[in-house]
Amino acid sequence: MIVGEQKPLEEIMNLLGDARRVLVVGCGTCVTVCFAGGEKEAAILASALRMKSQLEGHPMEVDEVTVQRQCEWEYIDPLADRLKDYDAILSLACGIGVQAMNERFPESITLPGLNTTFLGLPEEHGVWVERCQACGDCILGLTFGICPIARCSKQLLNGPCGGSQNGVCEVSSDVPCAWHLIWERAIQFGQVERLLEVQPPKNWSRSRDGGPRKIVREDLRLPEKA
Amino acid sequence: MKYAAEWLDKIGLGGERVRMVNLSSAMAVQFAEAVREMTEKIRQLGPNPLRHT
Amino acid sequence: MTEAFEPRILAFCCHYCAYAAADLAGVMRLNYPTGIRIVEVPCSGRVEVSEILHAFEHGADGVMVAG
Ligand code: SF4
Ligand code: SF4
Repeated sequence: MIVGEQKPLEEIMNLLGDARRVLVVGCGTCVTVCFAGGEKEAAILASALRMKSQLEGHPMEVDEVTVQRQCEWEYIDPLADRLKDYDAILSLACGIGVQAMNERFPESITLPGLNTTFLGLPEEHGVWVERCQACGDCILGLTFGICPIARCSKQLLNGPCGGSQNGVCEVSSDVPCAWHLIWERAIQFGQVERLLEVQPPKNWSRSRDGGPRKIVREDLRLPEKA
Repeated sequence: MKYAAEWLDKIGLGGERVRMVNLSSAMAVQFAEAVREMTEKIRQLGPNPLRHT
Repeated sequence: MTEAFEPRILAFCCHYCAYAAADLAGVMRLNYPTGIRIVEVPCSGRVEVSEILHAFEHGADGVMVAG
């Protein structure tokens, strides 16, 4: 899932500037399960903004609403009628949701309340870790299910660097060395020789090299209206 | 509770204004004591500034 | 104004423990400050942070969660 983190309250206040009427829009999907921008967080932030702005002597009216998924038109379209009542919209979705709002409702300005951080998972309650960088050409099949693009600090493709110490990455003692983990998995499956094969430089053309990416599935597209 | 207190700090109301107490149903004396302590603490902190703005 | 300040405290009390304790305090005729307002909840784990903030927004000087 997409993992995000709420921006500091001060930064959000600055982003909102002179806006007097604000709508906080939460998202009920990824950012709900990482406790950053769901219904509860929207309610807390709206209340905090009301109080802080009042204490600072320029009270804002802040309402909140949470949609099931902010990155799909059908879920945000029902908001259309409400938006004109507000000076600014504060989205608590990931950057995709913020852009969806701006694209769908160009007359309103939607600001980001979160920092979209990475694609990952909750390793334990309250701890999220990065697992994928959406490189566009997945090599997990070569690396025994552990991603060296997202989890090796240097994105190496042919084994660990010299800084790998007892399973720990040299970048920080709380980062496990991805290549150490890959190597252990190879031993577990008795396939170490597969790692001895030299991998050529990764083909990044399916990543960000060609600019923004796009997937078109002709079989799924709806026929153009006549 | 810590989270609520952090928010109060960020808003500028002060995290000390919220408190959690654990009591059993027989702890009437402790309940009264907790209310008294809390009231004293808040008396020192003064009124919620939002009340008069 | 300040000399007359009687803190208004909202207490969220668990039905099974703290609310019963408050009840008993009443039965026992214990004295405690009068600024307290009790909201009975089925369990103190039910109290949301947003509800605590709400209490402050509506003028509470302090909030107690008792369970
Ligand atoms: S906007 Fe979409 S991708 Fe972003 S958090 Fe919501 S559901 Fe997930
Ligand atoms: S190899 Fe690429 S697609 Fe696969 S997990 Fe790693 S970053 Fe994601």
